[in-house]
Amino acid sequence: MYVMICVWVVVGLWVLGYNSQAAYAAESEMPPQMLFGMPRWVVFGWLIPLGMANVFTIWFCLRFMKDEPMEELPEEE
Amino acid sequence: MTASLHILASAAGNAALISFAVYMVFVFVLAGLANREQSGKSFLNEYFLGSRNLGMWAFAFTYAATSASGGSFMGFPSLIYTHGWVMALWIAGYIVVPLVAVGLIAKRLNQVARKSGSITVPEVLRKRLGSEMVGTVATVLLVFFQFFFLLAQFKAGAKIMTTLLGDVSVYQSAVTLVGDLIHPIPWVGSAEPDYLLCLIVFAISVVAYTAWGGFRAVVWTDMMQGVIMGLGVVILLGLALNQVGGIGNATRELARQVPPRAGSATLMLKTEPTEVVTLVKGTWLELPEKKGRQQFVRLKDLAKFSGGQRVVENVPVILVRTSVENETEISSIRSQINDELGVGVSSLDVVGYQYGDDRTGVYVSAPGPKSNSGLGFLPIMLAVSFFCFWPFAGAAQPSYMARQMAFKDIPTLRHSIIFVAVYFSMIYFPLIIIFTCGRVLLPGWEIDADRIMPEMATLLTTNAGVPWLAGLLVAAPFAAVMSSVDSFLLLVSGSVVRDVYQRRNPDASEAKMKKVTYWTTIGVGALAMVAMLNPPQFLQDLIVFGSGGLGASFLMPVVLALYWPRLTSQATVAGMLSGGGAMAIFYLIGYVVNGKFSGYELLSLHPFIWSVAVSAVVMMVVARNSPPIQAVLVEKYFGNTDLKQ
Repeated sequence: MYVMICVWVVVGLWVLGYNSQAAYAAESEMPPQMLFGMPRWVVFGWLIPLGMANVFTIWFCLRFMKDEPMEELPEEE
Repeated sequence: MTASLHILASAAGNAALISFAVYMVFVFVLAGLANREQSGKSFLNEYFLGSRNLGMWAFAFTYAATSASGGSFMGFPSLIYTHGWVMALWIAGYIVVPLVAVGLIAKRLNQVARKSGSITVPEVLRKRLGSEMVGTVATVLLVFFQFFFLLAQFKAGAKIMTTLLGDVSVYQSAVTLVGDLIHPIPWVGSAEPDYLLCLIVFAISVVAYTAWGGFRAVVWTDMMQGVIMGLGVVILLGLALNQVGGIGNATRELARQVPPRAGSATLMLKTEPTEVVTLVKGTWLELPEKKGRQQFVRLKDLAKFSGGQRVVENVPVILVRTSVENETEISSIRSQINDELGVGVSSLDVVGYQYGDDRTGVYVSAPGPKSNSGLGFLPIMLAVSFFCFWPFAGAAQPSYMARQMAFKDIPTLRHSIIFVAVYFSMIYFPLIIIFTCGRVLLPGWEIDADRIMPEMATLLTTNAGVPWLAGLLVAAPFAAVMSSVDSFLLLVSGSVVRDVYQRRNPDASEAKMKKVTYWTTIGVGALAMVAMLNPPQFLQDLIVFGSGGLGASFLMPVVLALYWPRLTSQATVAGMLSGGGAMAIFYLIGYVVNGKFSGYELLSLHPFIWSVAVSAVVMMVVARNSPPIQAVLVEKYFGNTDLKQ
């Protein structure tokens, strides 16, 4: 459980911290700063954290999450 | 031009009807197969949890499809279209939804549900805490808040069907017949006949296959619906990027856009008409260029000139002011202008957005334009709220919890989380690109932004010369709505049957339980349909209230019940009531302050955040001051544990 909360905090600090500057300042940039055809803040403040979170999720599920036997159902089932 | 567009629209309409018919046949075949699976198994366990043996694809698809409701394919595109790229920040919490919402409780919830033999969320809480009161309060709150969802999805389903079948001649005849039939009936007669017909067909279809096939039918149809949604998004993305001239071109044109102004206009015909002249909703009129912006007026409603009448006043319109450099946007508008109308605008009275009027760059930055707030669409504190809302309100939705109780083993869970993470990335990111392109390819849809999804599907496929494909693409949001409705329907009926009826009639035979289950599912569906005959206008607020209320009521009680041995039944009841109650109070304050049904955002934070905080504090205080639960229950679910921790 603590790992999930840590991931949420880290991604939150990245996305909200970066975008509180970049995304809210982008309105005054004309022409807009772009990367891969998108506003630059979308790439650094959303797309890259999304990719990183997905990589972490794959690692977490395949390497970190432990297998355990499932509980037997009670008699009434 | 008009005739050819009509033929294309008819072709798309017939294709939509065929797609819809094929889709419904598949749905009922799957329900029939699911019904056959029920023989020889414990009825309730199979009907409500599919015998807890969901494999990877079934679990992953049913979770993703239930999550991607009508809101994802109708409301979300409408918001992207209206506010631009800031929606990436609004939805940013979804980056961690698969890991946090699924990973936080799925494993433990599944184990506790198995150990206690529970089928519903209230039952898990009741057995874990050993308290009837906990189960009763949980059932009441679940049915209350979940019903708002059900209502909203019924309306969305019926609305999509009206768009899907709008040009089909058989459908138009049926609408006329329904209109004649309901006209003399009080209250029912005030419903729009096309909406009513679609609502009835939608409700009967979804209730029938859900009641017939139960959870397994819902899961199997979710898988099919999930594939349709994914396929629809991929095709739309390819067509949109191709037709807009690449994403870079779309972003550059978007950056030069300013929000439209709304108001009314006086229209004047160039010559006196000899017969009635009608300008349909959506008609474009071109005005002279001003300060480097080409100006266009678009009608928000129809305008009618009677014979001999040259002037019509107070016609609701929007004024779109496009940069002369926006070639794609201007060419799109001009292709829709009928030069033979002979109509001009003699006067115009419009007002701009409170945030973003006359400002370029608002569609490619935060906080995004907003018509009725000077703070913009997404002030930073609201962005923080939504970053908390999506993963944690998501984790606490009972409809998702029901799925987390049904997977068969840990490898299934593990692979499903990976699948859902990739699936969500492939749905939400492309949707943002598609509908920011939509602002360039289909300007002026602020007049009815909720229709942007089917309109884009029709435009893109017609331009590509494959109008039949529109049927499949419009089936995607329909599938999204259906996959949510069936899950919510089953959840509500499950709570009523298992947590109310069976508690009062513990010796009821399986045949009797079957009968009660079927009739409850049908009854809940019928009730939702009747409630939606004349739907309220503030439906989107009701949806947020419903999901926020469920999150506030269940997040802390469920998480603490799963992980904290010291939790008491009194604290659980207090946590559910204070969380749900706080949401209700914030909405009540919002109603008084804002004059409409909306949550009061104290310090710009969403009411959900405050409600969860209230629930957590109340639970901690009550737990410290109430007697512990029976030691045997703690030992059953946590092993030998020191209760002083």
